[in-house]
Amino acid sequence: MNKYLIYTVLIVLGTLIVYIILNDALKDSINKEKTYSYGLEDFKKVDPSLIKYKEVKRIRAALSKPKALAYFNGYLGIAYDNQLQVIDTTGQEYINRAIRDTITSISFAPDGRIFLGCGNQVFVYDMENDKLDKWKMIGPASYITSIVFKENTIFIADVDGPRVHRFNNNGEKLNSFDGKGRIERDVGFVIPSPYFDLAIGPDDQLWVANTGLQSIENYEDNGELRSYWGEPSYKLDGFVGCCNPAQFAILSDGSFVTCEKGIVRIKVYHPSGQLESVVAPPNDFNLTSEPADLAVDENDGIYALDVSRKIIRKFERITDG
Amino acid sequence: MKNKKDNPDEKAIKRREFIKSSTRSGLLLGLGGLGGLLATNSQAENYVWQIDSFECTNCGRCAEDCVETPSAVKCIHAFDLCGYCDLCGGYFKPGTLDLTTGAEAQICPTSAIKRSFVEDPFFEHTIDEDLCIGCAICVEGCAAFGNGSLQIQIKHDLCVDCNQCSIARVCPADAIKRVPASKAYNIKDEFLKNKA
Repeated sequence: MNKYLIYTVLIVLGTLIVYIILNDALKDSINKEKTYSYGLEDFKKVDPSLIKYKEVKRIRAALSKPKALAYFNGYLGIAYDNQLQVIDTTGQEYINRAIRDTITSISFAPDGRIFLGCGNQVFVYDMENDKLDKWKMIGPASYITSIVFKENTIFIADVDGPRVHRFNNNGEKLNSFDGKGRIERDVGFVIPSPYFDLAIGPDDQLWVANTGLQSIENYEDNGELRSYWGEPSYKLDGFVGCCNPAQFAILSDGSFVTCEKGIVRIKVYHPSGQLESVVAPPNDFNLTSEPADLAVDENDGIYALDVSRKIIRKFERITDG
Repeated sequence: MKNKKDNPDEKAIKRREFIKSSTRSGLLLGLGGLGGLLATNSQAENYVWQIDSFECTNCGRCAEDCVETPSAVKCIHAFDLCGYCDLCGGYFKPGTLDLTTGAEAQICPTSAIKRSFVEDPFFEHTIDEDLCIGCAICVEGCAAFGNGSLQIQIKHDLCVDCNQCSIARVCPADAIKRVPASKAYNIKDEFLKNKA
């Protein structure tokens, strides 16, 4: 009789232990539904009819932390922290050299020279991998984020200030401006994070991304504001967050290709500033990744540097039929 | 001729001396060891629990699973990283049309974030620690749309330093670790300062 009593007690105790363990495990399950949630999923939804581009190519970056991208005449320049790589569009490597200073931007001049912004200095290389020039330091706290070329002048975006500097081909500064001139909110360039991009349109007009005001602005060479478009909005047609569009490029018809920071998405806007289409929705990128630096080729193919996946992705417009 | 071995007194003296010297040596060693132990203990660093901001996934469990109510985890604002944005992703509900301080516009469930105008277009957002429950909704919004200046950390004036931290146990990212008390906070802007 005592034996049965002992067995019964043991079974009850065993069941109790199993219950406690299972209860604890279920309580600790990492798949537990979130009580507090921002609901970022809503931002990743894009009407499929708006996506008018398809990804046609992927090229793996050579190193782990690609930072910036540029395109010239069938070549892609990729900047890493301390490395410059030039490849063709098949991925064949032409240049891979270490750079002592940390690279902050990369651009090709119309003659094929490679301009590297390295913090507060500009270094110039040619396609034969020779260092041609080193410009005088722009300012002790300068941080170059973009370099573009217009006829015989070179515009440099500098987060310090923030200001846009205009130089001649010899590296001599001609003038600089702070972006003031709006009718409303005349506060100049507002750059809350180190994304301050420039582009030259097909009509040789300078466009500047004033990210803190979520707009793209058009300037004369002397810094006079001509026009601007863009507004802060959580909707797809606007720019959301502190500092967008983080990257942009201009297509041959004057349309703008933009990429946003935070929830990464690539969109195309008409020259007037109206949303035209989506190139890549947020679901195509890792959530809260670095914004993709953009470059466009002669046929309006769009190259995007997917930083978190370490690849260059080429998008082409889906043709009807 | 007498051999030394044959003298029992001499033998006894040696034994006594041996015991005495052994005792003395033992005592000295013991005292030395005790001193060393005390010195080591006095210099040993204490460890505390802290969230690694770089690994935190803002899951919200810190608000629910801490043994303290409200949680000892609070949002902190790294102003060096902040863009002082008007359209603050950590403050406003997504889709908010008017950027006002109305409660219906705020994403924080306890209205723990105070928004104040600095100069156009800059706004400062500060955390009312008494109201903050450490849910990390604002942190998620700031990371998604801003610079990631809002972060959650275990406040050591509130933490009871459990032997096994209940939020560390359930953290899906293993982002909560023991860190030296001298480096009790792990904030992203500190990382940037160190890097600079």
